[in-house]
Amino acid sequence: MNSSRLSRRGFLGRAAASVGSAAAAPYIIASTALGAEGRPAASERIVMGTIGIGGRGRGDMAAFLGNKDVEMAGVCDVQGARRKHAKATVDRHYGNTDCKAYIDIRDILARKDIDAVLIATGDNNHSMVSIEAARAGKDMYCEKPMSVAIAESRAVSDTMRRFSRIYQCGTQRRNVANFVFAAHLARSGKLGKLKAMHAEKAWPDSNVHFGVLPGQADPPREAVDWNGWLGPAMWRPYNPQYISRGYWLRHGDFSGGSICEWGSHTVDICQWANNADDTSPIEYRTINKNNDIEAIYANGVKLYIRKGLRFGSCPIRIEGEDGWVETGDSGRIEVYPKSLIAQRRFRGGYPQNDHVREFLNCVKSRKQPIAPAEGAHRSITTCHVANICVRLGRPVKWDPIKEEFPDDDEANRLRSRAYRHPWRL
Amino acid sequence: MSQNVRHLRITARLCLACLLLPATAGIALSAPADAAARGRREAELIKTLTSDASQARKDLACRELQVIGARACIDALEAMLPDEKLSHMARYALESMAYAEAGKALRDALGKTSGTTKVGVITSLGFRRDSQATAELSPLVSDRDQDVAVAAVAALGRIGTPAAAGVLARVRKSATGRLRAVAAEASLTAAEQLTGRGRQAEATVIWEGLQDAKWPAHVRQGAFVGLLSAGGDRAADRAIAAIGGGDPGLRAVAIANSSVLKGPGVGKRLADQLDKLPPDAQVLLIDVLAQRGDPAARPEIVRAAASDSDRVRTAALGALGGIGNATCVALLCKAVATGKNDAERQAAINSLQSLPGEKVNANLLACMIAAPAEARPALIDALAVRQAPGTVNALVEQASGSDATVRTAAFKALGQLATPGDLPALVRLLVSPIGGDAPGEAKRAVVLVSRKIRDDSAQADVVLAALGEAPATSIRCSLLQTLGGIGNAKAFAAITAARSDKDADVQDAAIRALTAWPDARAMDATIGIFRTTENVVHRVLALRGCVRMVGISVLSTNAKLDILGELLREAKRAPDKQLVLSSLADVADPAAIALAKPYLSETTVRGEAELTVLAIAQAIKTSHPAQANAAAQALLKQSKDRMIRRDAGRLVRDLTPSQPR
Repeated sequence: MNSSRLSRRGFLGRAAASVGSAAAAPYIIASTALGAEGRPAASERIVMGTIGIGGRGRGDMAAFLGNKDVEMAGVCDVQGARRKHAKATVDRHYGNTDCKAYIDIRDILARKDIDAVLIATGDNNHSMVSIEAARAGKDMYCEKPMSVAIAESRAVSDTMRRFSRIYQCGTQRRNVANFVFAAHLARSGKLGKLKAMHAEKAWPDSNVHFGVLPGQADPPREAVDWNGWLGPAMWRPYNPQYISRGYWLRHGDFSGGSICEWGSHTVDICQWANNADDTSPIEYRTINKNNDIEAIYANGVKLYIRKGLRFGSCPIRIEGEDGWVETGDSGRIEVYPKSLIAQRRFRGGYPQNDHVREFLNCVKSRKQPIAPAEGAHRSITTCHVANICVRLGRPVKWDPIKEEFPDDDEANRLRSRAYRHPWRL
Repeated sequence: MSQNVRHLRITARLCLACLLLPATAGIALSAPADAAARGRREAELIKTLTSDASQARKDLACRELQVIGARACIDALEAMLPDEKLSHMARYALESMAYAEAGKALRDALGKTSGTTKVGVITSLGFRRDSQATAELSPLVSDRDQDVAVAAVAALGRIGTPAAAGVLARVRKSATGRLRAVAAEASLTAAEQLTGRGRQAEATVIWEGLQDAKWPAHVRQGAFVGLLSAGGDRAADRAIAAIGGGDPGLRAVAIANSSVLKGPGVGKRLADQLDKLPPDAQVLLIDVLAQRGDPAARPEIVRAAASDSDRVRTAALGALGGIGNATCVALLCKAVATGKNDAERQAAINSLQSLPGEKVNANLLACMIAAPAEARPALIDALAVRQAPGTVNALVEQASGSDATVRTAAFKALGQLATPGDLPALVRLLVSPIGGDAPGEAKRAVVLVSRKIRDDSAQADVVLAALGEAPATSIRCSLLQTLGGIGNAKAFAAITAARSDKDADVQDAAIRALTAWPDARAMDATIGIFRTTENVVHRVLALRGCVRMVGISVLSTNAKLDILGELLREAKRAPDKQLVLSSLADVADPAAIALAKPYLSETTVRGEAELTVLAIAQAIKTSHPAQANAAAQALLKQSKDRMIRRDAGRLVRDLTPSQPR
């Protein structure tokens, strides 16, 4: 093995195989032993791959490349142009041509030297790729939303536990200061007993559609691996419009529409604020023609998934008996009483750098990160149940312990979708 | 363009995209309300499935049947299972149906399918956890088609009955390659299922088997966590063995999962591992011991606080905040005084602030008094954060000491800890020779403690008494500034009187106090200063004071416009005009636009004026749409700022009646 490619995984494996006791060898080789100037030793680097490199994936990958203990060894995308661009980006970053490009996720996941993967595919493939990555022994940072159906994210969480993998959901606002501050106000009781929380959805209409477009001739696999793009979803003839984000984001086979698009962030922060990372609301109903949602947790706190909050994208508002807080991506925050805010100022934006860094630390320490699979599953479950409520056009009840709709066969069927060969949960 | 604006733009494009969806998007997928209508709809869908309709139509019918399908549709769906093109969507409908007939249809299809369709059927049986399929699936684990064998093994894992687990045990022994990997995963899954059925012993056997070095690290680690989750003394034994063992990956997993281990003496046993570990692992274990909060681990943590490793020392000092007690105070104070780096010192400070225990405050106070001057401010801060009672006398002493940094810290703490009964002592400090150059913290402390007096009218009394006896100008100025902070009626009267003092410095202090008055009581006086003073500094202070007070006042809109209009007309400097314009933006009235409009052509303040006009126009778009529209149109036409034009354009669109398309 080339020493410059010696991975942390390789080191741990070798250490485990060759060292009889902890005292027989140093736990970590001194950085001066192997590290190039300004970079940690190879034994301390995390060898990574990126799967799915559209706009979001490029941003995430740049955040990972900004960490000197990351070595991006491969990129994978079903779209040729994105694949080539990503490889060029990584090669330019390292000043070499070592980065390998893959079409099929199974090929990049088969690489034994890769410790962890960044997953930023379309939403439809998030769960499937996460599960396959865990089966291959990788840790992962996976973009939101975690799943397209409740059963998928349940399976992701179970698989992470089963293989003791580190999973960080790309709900990076858990590491963005104004959101952290808002959640902390609620969690620490400074707002008093919580009454209601408001989570903004992405656009006014909550519906998803299941459109089928006229078929066209398949493009060359090098340009678009259509079967790979579809992943576990229903097969249909190729049409380039499917691949447009503006289309698939509202398509029920490929995403969860307005509620999941922003709710995966805003509902997630509200769940966190309500100390509800292990549950979901138990009753849901629509409250207007835009199918805004009112949901109620077992502790009586109400959650509204709606439009109309302030302060930029992905805003939230949390109301307690003694105060309230409202903030969003603009970084502006309003708090009542004002004394709770003190002298704090927030920059705004929704950078993922701290979230990425925390994930990398957890890969090394094996501690669970701030947005682990189980919590992310519960957040996105809340969004999915809300979507099911919209789709059925009636109120629904949810049992967060059994993870089922009590005495509601119709709703229960919508918890899952049969995976298309060769994928399985 | 900010990230935030970009995000909103993307969302706007998505909103637009929804208008361009194809006609096929409008497929009804909600269920008919009554049973009869559902039955009719199901019959129609069955008809579609059994006709020569296109695959797309059959796919959509299956999608609908997933929600409304009853037993009647199962035969039609079953007939589709062997068809390579239709099989997946037939499973789409069948897989989530609770009917036993749906399971039977899938099981029956095993004999009618092959290749990918068979794999799909097996996967659906696994998803349903169909234990009745165990007998049919068991022989398939050795099917010649490896995809079929893999699917069967995975399905048996999900089914997870003892019988299925038995099959998997055999596969684990004999399988190679991909099948072996899936057998490991399926076994882990089955172990969880067995645990759920109360068959812990059988699950443990599986997990123990997967500890063998022949299995990949993630399988071993997953099985190890399974064993820990089983709980009991064995779990602690296993964790401790792994922590002391030679597999660094497993050690990290063991440490990370040790925070929830239960049992007598577990905390102590874990702590006993500390000095056997390399520094990086010690840091992880110290973190876990802190989370556990077991006092039995304290001696080892204290020992680690003297480690040669910077990281270990820092981690241990930080952990003592939760796990330490009063006996740790001296150690932590010493670290604050002599710590080798900022992280170490900060960890010690944090721990001193949160350390639990009755005698902690007393010990900390004693340590603070004995500490070198450079360490004392941090220790005083810790006392303040702890709201430590019985410390005021000592803090007053520190506030009168020779070290300015210590004095400042002491005054800051006194502001939080002192009570109204302590006010005379604090004011004596303020009027003492030290008070002459007293830091802002000294005045702030007196203000904070004065405001703790419940009777508002009495809040300034102690300071006023001192003012009456103060001979020196510097002291009087200091007391006047303090009165300004207290801000009650008596303080206002005293400061108003001081404006006529024969000493120019006292006059200056009075004006500064008035212009910085905490509420709108001083509005008239401040406007008066603005109108009459010839002192440039006082004029600027008065303008700023007026703008601030308008913002917090309950004046009528007209009164606010009068004041801000006057300030705007009389303001000479661009920053002052900008300040007034920014305040004007909060007045939702067309007259406010009229006031701001002339400044749209003034180069130095144009940007602020445009923002002001835009904000007012947005605020009055409902109450005064015509004026809002006119203002937005003007901005759209004249502004050189792209963002202003964008937002003005949006406002114009909002206010323009939509045309039929």
